[in-house]
Amino acid sequence: MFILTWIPLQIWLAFSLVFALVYVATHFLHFIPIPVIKVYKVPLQIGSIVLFILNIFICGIVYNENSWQEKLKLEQEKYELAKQEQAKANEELDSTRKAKEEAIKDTSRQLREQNAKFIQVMKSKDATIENIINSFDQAAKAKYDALSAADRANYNSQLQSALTFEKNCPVVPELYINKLNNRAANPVKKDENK
Amino acid sequence: MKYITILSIFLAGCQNVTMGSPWPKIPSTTYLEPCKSLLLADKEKSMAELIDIIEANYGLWHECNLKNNSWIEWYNKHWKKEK
Repeated sequence: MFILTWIPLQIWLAFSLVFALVYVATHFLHFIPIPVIKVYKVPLQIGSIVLFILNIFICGIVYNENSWQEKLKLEQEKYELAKQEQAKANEELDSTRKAKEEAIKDTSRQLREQNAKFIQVMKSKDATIENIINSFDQAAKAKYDALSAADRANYNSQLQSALTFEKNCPVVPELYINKLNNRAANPVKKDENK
Repeated sequence: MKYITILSIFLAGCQNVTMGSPWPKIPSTTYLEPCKSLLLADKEKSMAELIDIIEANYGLWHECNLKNNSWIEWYNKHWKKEK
């Protein structure tokens, strides 16, 4: 309520004190040498008591209002703080996710580039191990050079095996491709989906 | 008497002021984007080309997995602590 926040508690307390003093003062009216004034004693006492009680009641309301406003203020502060914390946590989460996503996309892009070169060499008529190794990018070449003699021989044998396979089976059977495509395109088996 | 009791219960009001935590926002709209569809292989492809497509699909899975994990992390950060 507007009036409860507009007039501070101290004013209401001061009013109460004034009415209490008025009530006390009525007991000393007989000291005033004006006879007519005694007529106002009872109305003044009743009025001051009623107004005193009313003021005390309003004091209670104002006090209650203030305490609720204080609680509300504290909650609002907590809410704002939580909001800021959430924004900060979201920022951290998103930056971590973005970094990971970039790394995944970058890896995919690099692999596809390497694969494109590899496929090109494999499809050429003069496909040899040397040609394949020459098609490597700098990082892959450095990795290859760093291999021990045994590991290099093993890797060369793998490449030779792939070359032989490619020569013998230049095209993957359509059945296998269809199987893979069906699985990639359909999350559930079509027959089970019906 | 029972009406007075009911009325007094309603007039008692809230004993505590609590606003709770703000409704968490999603970090970015990227979270709402669905995962990309997997790539399909054309016919007459060599094994090397097929492996390339399968590898690319693994990459797409990793992207989708990251998105899913990000949602889980987001939930744990903002919602789970409420309980």
